[in-house]
Amino acid sequence: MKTPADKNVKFTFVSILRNDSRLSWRAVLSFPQGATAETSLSFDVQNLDGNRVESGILEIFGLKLPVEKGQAVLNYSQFILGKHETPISLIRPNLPKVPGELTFQ
Amino acid sequence: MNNETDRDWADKLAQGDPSAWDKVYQKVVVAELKSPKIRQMLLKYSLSEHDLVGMLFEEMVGRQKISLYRGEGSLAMWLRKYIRGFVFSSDPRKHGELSIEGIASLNEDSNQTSFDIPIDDNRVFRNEVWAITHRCFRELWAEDPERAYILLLKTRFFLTSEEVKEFLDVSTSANVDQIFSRSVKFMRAAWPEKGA
Repeated sequence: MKTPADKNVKFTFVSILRNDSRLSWRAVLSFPQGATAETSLSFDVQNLDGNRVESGILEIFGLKLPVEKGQAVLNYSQFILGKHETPISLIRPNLPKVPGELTFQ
Repeated sequence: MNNETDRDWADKLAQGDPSAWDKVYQKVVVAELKSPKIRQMLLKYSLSEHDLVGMLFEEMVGRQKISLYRGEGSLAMWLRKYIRGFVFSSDPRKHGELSIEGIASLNEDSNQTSFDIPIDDNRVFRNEVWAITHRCFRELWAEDPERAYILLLKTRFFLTSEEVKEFLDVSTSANVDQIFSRSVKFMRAAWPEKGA
């Protein structure tokens, strides 16, 4: 597995539409150019207002990733192992677990 | 490749050969896009050149239409007639052809939880198209996330099939083409249902 040496790729995951905007979130997974199996990938996790999520748990690709200061980290190989997994959700302190999905943004 | 006959090229296309399909992109799709009318219609119907390659792949390999090529006239011109047919019958409100790449860029600075209030007919239509596309994409994602990733990588980030193969650790680039073709087909089929 390898990412192109000359193209930037980002996948954006967003919360499924909710009436309460406080529950909305977005997480952008960035792939560095030329990444290989052991390369660390990071999610940039934000609330709807664009501010980073200070703490929480991002459940994705079958993993529970801690979110600290708006960042959650995993290896490229973990993404590949979980590429068929659909359940995604964000858990923040004092808020219910909010499911999400991939979008084409 | 210089001494390759149209018959050789057609055989390779039937087998899903990546270099033969790259040649389609250059000699058929790019050539056809030199027509201002075709370019205008692509823009109007939110289609990209990569959509056209995917549609042609589905038609030629998925439906085996390549077997209808008898060698009368050049293969490139024969394929260009299909491309023209796709474009002329691509009104998304009627047929469900769409490009996530073309639509997403219109909404880069917002997200799907809030829309700007549209102020003209064009934006109303664009926002409607975007919302419908999002619903179709959601279903594709639920069906198989890998398909959704491949659709994004090919139409949004313009990765070649070989690059997608490496990116997602898919066994062969021919498999990537097949999955991509199925994704485009899925989106086309979902579109009229979601847009109705």
